[in-house]
Amino acid sequence: MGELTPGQLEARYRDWPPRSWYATRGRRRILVGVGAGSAGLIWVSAIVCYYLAPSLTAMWTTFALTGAALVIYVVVYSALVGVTRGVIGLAERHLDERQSRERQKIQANAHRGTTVTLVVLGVLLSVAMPRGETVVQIPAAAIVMLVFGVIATHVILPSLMAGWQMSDPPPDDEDDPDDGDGRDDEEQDEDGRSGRAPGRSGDGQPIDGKTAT
Amino acid sequence: MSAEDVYNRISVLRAERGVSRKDLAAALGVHYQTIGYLERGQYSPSLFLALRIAEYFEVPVEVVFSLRPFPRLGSEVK
Repeated sequence: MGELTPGQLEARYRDWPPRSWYATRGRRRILVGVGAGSAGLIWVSAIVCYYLAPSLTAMWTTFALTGAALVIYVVVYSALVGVTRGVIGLAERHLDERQSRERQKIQANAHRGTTVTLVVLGVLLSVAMPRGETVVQIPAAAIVMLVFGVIATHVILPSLMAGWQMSDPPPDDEDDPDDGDGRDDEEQDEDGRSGRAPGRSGDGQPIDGKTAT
Repeated sequence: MSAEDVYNRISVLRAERGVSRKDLAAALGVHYQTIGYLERGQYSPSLFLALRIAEYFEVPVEVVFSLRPFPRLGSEVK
């Protein structure tokens, strides 16, 4: 598969995902939550395998959960590439200095997230070990799914971080008034935070702070 | 004012010259959303980008960027 260029990205993501999916922090975080849920399905299938494998039930449950996780994540990842306008998804050489710095921050945070995940996993496994047992039998399928879950989490965490941390995007240009829902995007953050800092400039309005008119 | 606040007049200069965000972004070789983040004060540019913005508008860099808020137009006329 060829590498995505900025021009292709703009063309491909001009109309998708709908702006209503990412116009507010709350909606972006719902999207991220769905993506995290897809990784969660793989962890669930590891647990199912631990208790039920080897069995047909474990096998079909694993196939179903993994398939669902892949489909969900492909949709979420594609949406996040569009939402971040390439901060994830584009090759580093296509990014400008802001995007490049954003990506570095995201990767640093995702690295910390993976570390936390591994520590939590280690603690949970040591707690789950039967007391006094030195040898524990674990189905091979459970180990495979556990490793798959760790790798999937490691791979998708940067894209989820990008969606989670992203501030409200500015309009594409002056002729892009809003997302069509009749409300000002800057005022609709569901947790009550405006994407525009107080006193900063915007659209030729008088301001006190960052940019004078 | 936080220690890292940098104020700018990019939107004013852009409006005065009739330049769209996309045109400015294309001239500077950055993404057009970066211009939006700069204008909203959510991103402070590197020295290189700041100098290029000043060069584009053909003004000294301190006309575009300042560590203190720019006065409102007309505030010195009264």
